[in-house]
Amino acid sequence: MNAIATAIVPAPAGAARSRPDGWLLAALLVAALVVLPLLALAWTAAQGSDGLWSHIAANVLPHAAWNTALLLLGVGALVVSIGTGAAWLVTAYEFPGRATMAWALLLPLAVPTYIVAYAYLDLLHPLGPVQGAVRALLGYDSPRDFRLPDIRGLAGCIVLLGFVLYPYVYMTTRAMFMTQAASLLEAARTLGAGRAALFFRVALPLARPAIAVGAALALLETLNDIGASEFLGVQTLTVSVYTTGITRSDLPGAAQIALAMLLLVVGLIALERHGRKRQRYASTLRPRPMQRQRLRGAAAWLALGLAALPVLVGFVAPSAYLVAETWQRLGQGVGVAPALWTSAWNTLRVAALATVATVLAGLVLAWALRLAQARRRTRLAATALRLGSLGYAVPGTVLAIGLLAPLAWFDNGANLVLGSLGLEPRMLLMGSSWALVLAYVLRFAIIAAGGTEAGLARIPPSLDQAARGLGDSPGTMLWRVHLPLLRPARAAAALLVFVDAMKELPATLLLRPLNFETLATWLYADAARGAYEDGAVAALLIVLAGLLPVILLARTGLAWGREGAGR
Amino acid sequence: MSADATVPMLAVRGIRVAYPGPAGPRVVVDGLSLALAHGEIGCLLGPSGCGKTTVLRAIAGFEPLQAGSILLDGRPLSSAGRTVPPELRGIGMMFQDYALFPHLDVAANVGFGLSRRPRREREARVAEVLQLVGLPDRADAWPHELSGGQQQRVALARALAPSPSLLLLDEPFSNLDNDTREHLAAELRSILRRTGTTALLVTHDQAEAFAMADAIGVMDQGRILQWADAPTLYAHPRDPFVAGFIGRGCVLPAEALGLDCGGRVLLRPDRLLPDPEGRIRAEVVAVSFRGPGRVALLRLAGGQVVEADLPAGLEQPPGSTLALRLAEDGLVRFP
Repeated sequence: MNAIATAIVPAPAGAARSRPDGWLLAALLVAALVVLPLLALAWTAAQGSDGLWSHIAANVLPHAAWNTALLLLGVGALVVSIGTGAAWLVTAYEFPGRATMAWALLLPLAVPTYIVAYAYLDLLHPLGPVQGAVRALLGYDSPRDFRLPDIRGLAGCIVLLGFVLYPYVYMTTRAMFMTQAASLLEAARTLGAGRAALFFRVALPLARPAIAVGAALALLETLNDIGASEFLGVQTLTVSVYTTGITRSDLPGAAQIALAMLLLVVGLIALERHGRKRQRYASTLRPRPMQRQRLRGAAAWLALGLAALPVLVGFVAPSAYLVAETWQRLGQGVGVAPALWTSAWNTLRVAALATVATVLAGLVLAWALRLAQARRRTRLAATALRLGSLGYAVPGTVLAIGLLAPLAWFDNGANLVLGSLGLEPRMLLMGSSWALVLAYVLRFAIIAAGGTEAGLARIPPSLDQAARGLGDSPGTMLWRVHLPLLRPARAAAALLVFVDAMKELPATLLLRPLNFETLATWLYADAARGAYEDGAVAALLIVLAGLLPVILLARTGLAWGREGAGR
Repeated sequence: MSADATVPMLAVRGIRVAYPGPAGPRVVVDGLSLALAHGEIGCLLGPSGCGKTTVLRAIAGFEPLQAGSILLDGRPLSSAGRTVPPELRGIGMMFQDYALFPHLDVAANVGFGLSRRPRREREARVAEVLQLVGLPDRADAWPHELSGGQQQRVALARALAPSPSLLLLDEPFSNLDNDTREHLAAELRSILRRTGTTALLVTHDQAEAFAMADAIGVMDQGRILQWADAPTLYAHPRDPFVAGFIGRGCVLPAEALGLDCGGRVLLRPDRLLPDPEGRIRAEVVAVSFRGPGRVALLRLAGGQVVEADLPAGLEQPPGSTLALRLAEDGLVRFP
């Protein structure tokens, strides 16, 4: 792997003047590891597939591309409306329960897309509790007489994804409203702008960059989703990659579709970057919470209802369903299959390994940049950090297809060595849980790198200079000064990576060893079979773990809902 | 001030403002009154946290009143339980951070408050006020492309564009460096004068207050201690806090200076004159060079440390003892 990596990375010519910098080399290695599967993807795609490709291109691809486009458009519109509306509601108005809603609106983040689809398929089943209640209410006896429209299909998929992914827009937009808007809105009011004008002429245009960032993240999640679209029978590009690669065993074909998806990803990243760049212009103002308008009577209840709706649909209903199902199984004394505990243990083990490795990789990327900043030669280290962070945008299926070839190359190379030593050839990475760990590291490196970078940014450079002046080498200084100071940032990053690794489905499906189940794949298999057995228990465990980062988020500096009333 | 005018442009009468706090409401402004005649420039001067910005925000309509009232040109705007919203007041405000809309260019920022006027008229007015503040050629610039001083001018142009009957300025110079500050203060005053704008500014910097205002209210703990023009505040402070806050100097017990009148006196640094015949003895603690003269820190017999201006040429090493005389004419006494 080393040889491949260094072959890809251009020699650090600029930095070569001083003695070689180990941290920078390590950072470049991590970056190369992230870029490698993307290059390998192109290589795989160029292998050309047997006759099947023309069939795919003619029948599967246009349909899947069209579905994906509609899905992205629909989810985009929905997350922007819900996220922006909710953010404005809890920022500009005061009503009973507002402070609770401000953080509760984050809760759907804890529910992965495949779980919300899993829960609603059963909840809204013609024989399920919701339709049953509706029929009882309207006096119908059987599903034959009355049924709600089927949630399977594109529309249902859009609604469900919209209600669990809107928090991305809610978070970024609310942060914008809270930190930027107060003095601007006051200025607008002294210039004669009323409530509606405030929203449409000031708040909304101001929030546009934040909305773009949030929407881009939500759409990357949409593109990454495999469970919800498959359960709901929507043939998206992601599903096509999976079926082409696994069911039809046509790797080059899958790689070709994956490359097409990468184009979409590049577009979304561009949207996100553009949004972030625009956000910076506004940041010269002093942050101050804006004054909320107190609502009374019916208006207050309406506001509460509007704010509560996304939480109910995106979190409360699916979680209540999972709790009830779990309770039923345990209460009936059925217990859960021992295999579920095995898969829980698998999940824990792989996620823990991935967390350690990811936090290390993130530290290397961020620390190399910090050292480079001290030398005022940041270009190479900044590039490494940027490339190393790319993985978050690459859908799990795409990353996994891209990783298959390098994993095989590594195993072949290793087996050449093993063979020359007279040892049995075997698969080292391919089909091992190490491949999973690697995929998680690549996909989630940005969380650790970004968190560490933000933590480092709060440590003044004078501390570095003081430590170096007192005789510390960069490594010693990291150990004695920065690591202790970074503990909170590191813990937060570790938690986020751990939970994300736990929830990961698309890459896990493609890369896991034979007969190796994680909680997510267990749930997937259950739902794919249409058998709702222990899946609810697995789903509940994932949602419970997913709540941890949401709690962490709710307690961060933005003080969701706890902002003081006065100044 | 408004003694001869029929109706003051701004009348603030006994207002009380409180913020909700964890331990019940916290009163920030209490029983504060002031009045500004048409075209007058007033200033609230005080240390940070004295409530001056709150007064400004109450006048703008952002803070409700618990008591008292605010009238603009005789029209009631705020009283306990009744607050005309800011957008209906016709009061312009220039914010401390300027609050320029980052998503709009300079022309759109300045024209923001003119949206109900026909396009032609709006463009003409924007050009006019940009001309007034000396930025006629920056209409297409974006706020982040402007220097701090230019941003301040755009903020002023934006606030003036709708021709408000009153302009409020919150620490208008605090984001500028010293040179720009003095230059702009004079310019701002001349613009306000030329347009006949009634204005109330808030600052903690007395130099700004002196440069800008016709009348200054020195504030402490939510009250105006004295409302007067700058020379009066300096020469006849009515309160020990005003005396200490305006100009240099300190308030001392009278007997520390050998006076037997009792009470306290305001000692300005130019009131202590070196005089071999003088009855006051002081130890020189430190001397620092100040261009035209020197400033000495002196320890009086009673232990108080005071500042005194020493003329050039008088060499007094620290530790030596100096004889001084008190210039008693116009000495300010407090009970």
